[in-house]
Amino acid sequence: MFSKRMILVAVVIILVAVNVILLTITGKHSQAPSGLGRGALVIVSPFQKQFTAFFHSVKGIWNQYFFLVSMAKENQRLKKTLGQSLQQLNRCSETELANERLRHLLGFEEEISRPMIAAQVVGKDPSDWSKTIIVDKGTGDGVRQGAPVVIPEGIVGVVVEASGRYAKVLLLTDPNSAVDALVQQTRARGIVKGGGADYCVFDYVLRKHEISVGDMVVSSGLDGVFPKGFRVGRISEIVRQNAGIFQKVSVTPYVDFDILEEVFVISEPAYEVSPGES
Amino acid sequence: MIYGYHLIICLFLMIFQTTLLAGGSRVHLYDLLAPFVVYLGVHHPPRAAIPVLVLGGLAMDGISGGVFGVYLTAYLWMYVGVRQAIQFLQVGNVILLPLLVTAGVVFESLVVAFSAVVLASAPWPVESMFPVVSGQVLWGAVTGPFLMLFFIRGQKAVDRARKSFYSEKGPLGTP
Repeated sequence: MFSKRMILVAVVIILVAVNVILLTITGKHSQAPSGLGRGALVIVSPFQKQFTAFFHSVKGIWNQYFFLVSMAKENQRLKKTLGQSLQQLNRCSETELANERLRHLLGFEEEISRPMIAAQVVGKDPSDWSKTIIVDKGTGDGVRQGAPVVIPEGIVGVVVEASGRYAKVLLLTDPNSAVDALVQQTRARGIVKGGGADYCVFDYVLRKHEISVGDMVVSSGLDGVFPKGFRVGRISEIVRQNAGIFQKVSVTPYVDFDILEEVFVISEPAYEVSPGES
Repeated sequence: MIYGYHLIICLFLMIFQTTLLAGGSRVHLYDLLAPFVVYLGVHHPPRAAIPVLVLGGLAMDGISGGVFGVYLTAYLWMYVGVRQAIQFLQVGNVILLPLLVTAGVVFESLVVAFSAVVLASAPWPVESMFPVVSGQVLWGAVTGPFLMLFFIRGQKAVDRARKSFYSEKGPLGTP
């Protein structure tokens, strides 16, 4: 009744359909099913770490001994100082603005110091379509899923998967990323989402808020992941449409994700449950 | 021995492209395992290729942040496609082999792009497909055939080493 060829074509069509359905199901989850992702991290990441270490040592020898010894050292020192200064400056601005707003309050919330774990980037995502990195610290070092990852320049991303010694970090620029943020000067609030390429989209900013290109966007602390006041990026484009209650805002992150080498993982969650809550 | 060679190549390509080559976001490099899958399809039967493809696909899906299973899907279907193609193509031909490698890169780029634009929970804008896919195809067309030649040369070296090892041991397996 049916030729062999027709049956073969039907089988292929069914297999493709099943395949697409399975991919659609897994596509709705940000994590690999049943620890398969962690398994891959355990197997591949140690090799990545050794390869990266070798590459960095070769690069280091070249930079420090063959290519302008003194300038490379001075550059490293200046970069470190600049990072610290930026962080300090940002903290001062945040404190100044918070003081102005809250000076009428009688009690001040005590700032909680949060431990940070320094980690080295050992690998990056093989695909152009997802922005993740692998770092050499895992659950054994206190890194937990959902922990924020930062550097002095600003927010890097969030840990999405962690094995014993390695963790996968979803970068701020990935479309799956979202940070509750506000414009530092005007306190206009919105959600910064990854735009895919080198930029982010600042969603849900009301049209009534006056913001301008160049304004600094910082984390609001209201998402329960990122602590308040961490630098996210600078507003690079604003489109105010005639209709709608929101404006379209693009943000350029402060972090250069192409040259990331070391990051800090904040080990405790920003949101702390009070003893009365369950 | 050939399994070992394939697994080492697979692991090396994976590490190479996630460490050294993953520097900038402006150059859209293709997945180096795509020419490797074409090589497996042309030179190896399913018994030798499928285990390597499954392990490689799962490892790539594990370290990538994209839709889980997309690399595994792309590798398996690409292998099936190449096996079908070599039944009527003379792949020793100087023109057809590079074309087959390029077709493999195109197929994988499109599958991964489709997963990101259509199937992902936070899909990418459709207009971002063109620069990424075209960049990957261009790089794949230029460098893919050379990679393929490298794999073939490597396999010949492994075969020679295996033959000399067994001939030194003698017919009864004693030195």
